[in-house]
Amino acid sequence: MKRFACVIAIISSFLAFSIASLNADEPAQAFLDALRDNGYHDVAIEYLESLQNSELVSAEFKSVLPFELAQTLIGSTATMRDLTKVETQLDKAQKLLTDYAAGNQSVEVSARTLHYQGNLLDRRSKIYLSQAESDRLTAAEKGELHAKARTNLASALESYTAAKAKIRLLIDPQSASAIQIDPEDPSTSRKRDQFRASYADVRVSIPQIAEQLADTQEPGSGERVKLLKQARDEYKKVWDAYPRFLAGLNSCLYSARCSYKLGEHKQALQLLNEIFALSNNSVFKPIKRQAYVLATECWSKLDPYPYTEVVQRLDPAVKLLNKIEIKQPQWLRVQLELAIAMRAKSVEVKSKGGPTSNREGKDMERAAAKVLRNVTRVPGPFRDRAKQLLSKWDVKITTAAEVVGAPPASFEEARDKAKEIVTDLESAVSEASLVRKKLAREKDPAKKLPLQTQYDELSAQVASLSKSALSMFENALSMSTDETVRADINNVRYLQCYCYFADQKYIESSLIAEFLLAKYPNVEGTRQAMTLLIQSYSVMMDRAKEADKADERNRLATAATNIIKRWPGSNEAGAAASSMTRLALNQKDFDMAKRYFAEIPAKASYRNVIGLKLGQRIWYEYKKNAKATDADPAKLQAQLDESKQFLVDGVRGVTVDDMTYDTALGALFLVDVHLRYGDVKSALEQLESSAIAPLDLVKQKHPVVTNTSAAALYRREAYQIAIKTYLAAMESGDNQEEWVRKAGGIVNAMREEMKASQDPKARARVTQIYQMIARELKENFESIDDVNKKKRFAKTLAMFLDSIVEDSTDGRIVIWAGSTLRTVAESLQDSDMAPESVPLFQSAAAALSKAESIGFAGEPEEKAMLSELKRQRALAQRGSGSFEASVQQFVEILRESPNSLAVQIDAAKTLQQWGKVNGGPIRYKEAVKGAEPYKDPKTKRSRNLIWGWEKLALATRGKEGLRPTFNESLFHLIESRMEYGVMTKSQKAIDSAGREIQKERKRDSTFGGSPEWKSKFDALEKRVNATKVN
Amino acid sequence: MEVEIRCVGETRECDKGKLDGVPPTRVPIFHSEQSQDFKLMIMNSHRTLVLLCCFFIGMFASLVNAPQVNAQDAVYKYKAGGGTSKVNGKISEVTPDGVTIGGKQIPASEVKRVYYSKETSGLNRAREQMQDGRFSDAIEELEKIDAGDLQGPLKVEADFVRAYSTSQLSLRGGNVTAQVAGNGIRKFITTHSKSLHLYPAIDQYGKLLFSVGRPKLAAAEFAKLANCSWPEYRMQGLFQLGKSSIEAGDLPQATSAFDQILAIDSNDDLSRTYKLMAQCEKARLAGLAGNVEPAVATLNQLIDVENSDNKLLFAHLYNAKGAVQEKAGKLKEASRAYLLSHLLYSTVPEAHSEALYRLALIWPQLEETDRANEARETLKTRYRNSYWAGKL
Repeated sequence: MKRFACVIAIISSFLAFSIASLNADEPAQAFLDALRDNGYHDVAIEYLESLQNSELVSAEFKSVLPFELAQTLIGSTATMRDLTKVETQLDKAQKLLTDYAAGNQSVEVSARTLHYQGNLLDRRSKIYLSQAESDRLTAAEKGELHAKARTNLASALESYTAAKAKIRLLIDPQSASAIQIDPEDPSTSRKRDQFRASYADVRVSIPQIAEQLADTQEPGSGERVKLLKQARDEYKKVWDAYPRFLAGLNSCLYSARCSYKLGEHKQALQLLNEIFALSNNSVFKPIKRQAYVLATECWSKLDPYPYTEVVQRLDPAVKLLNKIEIKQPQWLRVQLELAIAMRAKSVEVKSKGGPTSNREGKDMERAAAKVLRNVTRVPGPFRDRAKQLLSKWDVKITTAAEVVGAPPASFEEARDKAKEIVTDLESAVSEASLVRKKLAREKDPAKKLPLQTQYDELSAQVASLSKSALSMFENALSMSTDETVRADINNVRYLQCYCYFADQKYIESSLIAEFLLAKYPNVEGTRQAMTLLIQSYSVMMDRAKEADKADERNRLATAATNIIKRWPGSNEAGAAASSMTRLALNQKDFDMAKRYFAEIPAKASYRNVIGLKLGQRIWYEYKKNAKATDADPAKLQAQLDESKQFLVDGVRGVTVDDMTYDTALGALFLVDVHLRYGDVKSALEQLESSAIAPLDLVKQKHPVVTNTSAAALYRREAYQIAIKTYLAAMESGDNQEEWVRKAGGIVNAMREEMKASQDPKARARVTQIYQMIARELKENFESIDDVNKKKRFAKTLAMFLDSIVEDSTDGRIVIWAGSTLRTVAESLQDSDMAPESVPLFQSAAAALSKAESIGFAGEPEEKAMLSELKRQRALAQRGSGSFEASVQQFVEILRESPNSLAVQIDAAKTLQQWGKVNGGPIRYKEAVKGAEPYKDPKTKRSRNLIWGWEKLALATRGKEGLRPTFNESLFHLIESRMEYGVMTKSQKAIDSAGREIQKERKRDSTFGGSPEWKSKFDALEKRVNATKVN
Repeated sequence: MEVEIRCVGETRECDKGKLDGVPPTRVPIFHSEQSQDFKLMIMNSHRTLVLLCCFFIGMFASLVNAPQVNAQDAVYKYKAGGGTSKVNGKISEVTPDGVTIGGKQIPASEVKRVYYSKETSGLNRAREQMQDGRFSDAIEELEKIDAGDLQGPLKVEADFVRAYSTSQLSLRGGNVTAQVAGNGIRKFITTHSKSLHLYPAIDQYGKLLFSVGRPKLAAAEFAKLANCSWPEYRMQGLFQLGKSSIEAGDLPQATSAFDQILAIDSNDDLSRTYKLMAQCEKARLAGLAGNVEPAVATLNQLIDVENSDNKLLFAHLYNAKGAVQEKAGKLKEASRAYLLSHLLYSTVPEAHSEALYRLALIWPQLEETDRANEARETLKTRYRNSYWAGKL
């Protein structure tokens, strides 16, 4: 709305101007300038584009339209955040400038083009420098970007230098190309003035570029020194030329900066004196602030330290600071220096001897401590240094706020003194909180110890400051009278609340806050105390014994409800609502959670985090419910939709800077949610390239997914979801090779992590992931209906798994890849694509042989793994038609473990399949009666190593836990008899198969209560009954 | 020339003047308004005028330090519409119920202060110091006065300042035992049974007895105030009688005392406060007798409705609520109530010390030993000679 009003205002001015003007170009230029000056580059671009076919402007103006457009495009990038967009705009501008210059060789055009070419290159270099700051890049990538930036800066310097020479030709009256001033035509003088301004601009830009170039060089290198000297001298020249203009003053400051960088501190200070001499007009405030900061750095490098000069310069400046400025980082640096200088000065004064000097020295010492104490109050880069100094000077923070002079004589005096202590308390609390977080993250006991000591000291400091403040507040309240303003008393009560809270006395804090809420809800101070009330109750609830939890929960709920009702939309109501949302989530009361979540103000910084938590919990719930067979699909869909909405909103609202583990987890779950929707594109984007991209976080080793106790879990989950995503992408059909490569990369990353891990369970966990992937693959594969798609997917999977087998030297991974290949091949075979499955089975068998040759030496389950490998290979061989080899493999396993039911079933099944394909009746016979006879050493009786279906059915009959195995054995027994009968044309065998079903039906018509088996047996019975060979 | 310095306690008679232990005895005071006028004059006038003022100040100082030379006695009495008026004449009779001056009887409750024509500046100063709460200074000041200068009513005044200050030093945890202070105040009561200060002295004596753990004897002393003509002391006496009786285990007497307060036909601010406090204590008694819910309801009602600036009332309300909850076995709720008294009304010593005592006993049962130790420590340091510290 505001923006719209501004544009309207600009248009109005433009119209007024156009009425008064006779030349059509002038208002167009003026309008354009106004738009650009006000930052409406997008409107300006549209305007310029609209002028291309307009008859309202002259041909001359039209001829410069490309140039104006280029200039506007460059200008528009100043506020853009998306670097890709910036580059696109600059590319467009570059093209326009090149075309413009090519079509017009005049000095004016050339000067302008060179000037804006310089701007463009400068801007482009900044993009590279900005990109180089990303933590996601390797050192080599950063170096590459720096080199690109340097190239652009060097070109910019050339452009500016050439532009300077050209513009000079235009404004120098002695030059042949000088703009001729026609007294009758004001546009000529205006044009000259424009070029004069451009000249000043270019002059400042030249040393700026040189300085930037110097900054990209190695410290101390000859090139850096040369460039800095060049910049310093050039700045000086600009300062000499424009001493009364801001550009000149800035150049003076920048020249001093270059001197400082060159180590010429005294010269820098001489220049800065020029800035200090400026008046205290607010126009000069920014430049003076920069000058003080720079001077501070220069003074600190001088030996002997010029403390008298520092105090003379900085003391008046610091005294002029307002409440906001006094906390700004740059001014904090200045205050730090002032305190150091004051302290040094106090030593000098005291050394003179005598009571007066001693008193003055002590006054200065106190003043220094006071300034320093202010620095310690503000979290920032100088606080630690200030604290160290206070400690060195033997000024304790806890005592720094002690009553100096007479005890307070009134409510106000006592309250103000107490407030000062509270300010220190706040600093101590915030610092203790930081140390506590560090301590929680730190795993190294050696590093933990000093942190613990630091935390203990800070906690003691908090307790001491809290006690002092409370005592002073009590003092204040005892001096309150009937005339004391209620709001003042309330404010004291609120601060008492804070002090108790800071000292972790939550009962006390909550009681005072409750009292304020009950008795003085409308008085200032009460509302502020409500956040503390909620936080206190939350902590109390968390810490309460199980028996007391309900009471504490009720207290919290009552307080929260009251606060939300009384101050809807406020920060306090938001805090209350967020606590209640968390509480509701813990109770899995999602409706209540959503209701309270809706009460959190949209602008609240924590809203996104709570929203993410809500989304995560609903997602968990959805996944749990989705597994239930009787789940209501509509309800499930609603849950999925809600979960997605909360996660999308939450992730969108959080930046990398304020990311937490919960945020990262929310982003990860969102990938999974997208997959659940089948939206692979969004899943990939979220996984790899969104602002909070889980895979990127893992690659970067971002602290929130690296240094926390849950980090390993996060990474595992991220790998798992990443593979799921890539598998889904493979399924979609495009860029198969890319997804194979990426999925392979993840598998390798997992393997590397497992190797590096000290966790004995790491292997088992990784194995679980492999199993999950195999399961996912099978499910994905089976869910594909389209035959061609299935074939294509199978091919891609084979490619993916083959590549893993090829690259890997880890037996576990190879066996997994082989097994997975076999599973996919089996699915293909089951989908009536047996010919297509054969190569996959062959690859699987080869992979498993490779795994065997790699071995599993050192693995705790080596024997079991070898046995499983052989089984998998036997199955693969069976799938590829190598029945004999397959049976031999089973025999080998059974020699070691003859009672393995799973292997016995596989072996029997293999014999049956062999019989069907090419083995003849004998294999059917073996499938039923068993094969590989041997003499039992104990009983001396002859037995079969492969039991066959008959024995399997006998062994499992009547055993409740083995009912499915029995069903399977019986089914195949009957099927084998029937197929044998068909093959040998024996109706007797077929009839015997039919009788076997009937007998079983008599024994248990439900087939163990399994509808699935019942229907299979029904179908088999029909087949048997329908089969007649005579 | 008579001057008047208004003490801090006088601005809030209820909270500071009487109930915090500053006696109602009045001393010659310096009018702060006059002081303010001087300041204004100095600020606004010519230098000569300043010098003139300095001269007058000098004159005033010499007059203050010199023995009083007024020929007449005087009584400063409260006016119905606020402020005071002065009655000059000869004081012919002084009783605990009032002063007769110039043949006119002024009730004790209306007397702001009495001035005797032969009063010395030392006695005046000692009285001022006592009223300012500087009890050690007051005793020291009395030591400087020649015993010969303290005859008749002046001796009574001096004895009261000494006994009262000693009593206060003891009650406030100073280095005076309750026995020593009690002897002093009892001697005053016995020797000066017709003094205008008799009721305040009895009140002090009762408090001292209570502080040494003799609530029954204390109750007997407070009972003496039950029918006194001075409404404030009557109400205070009845209230303390009730409280002491509770501690002595004589609940019918306690109930009777509180009922008497409720029956008093007066509705000024002080009466109203005591009536509410009596209601509160009656609720406590009901709760202690087992009627927990109605008692808590009454107390909550008072807490909800009454103005929490009434520190005395609220300190007792929270303590009473704590006592009832404690009796009902709701220790957590009890601790919260006592804690409120401790956190918000620590300026009411007798209630604060009780709250600390109760907390010191309850916290360990709630496994809050640190808090218990803290309460115990505070009680012992701030109220070391109190009944509650002695009981711990």
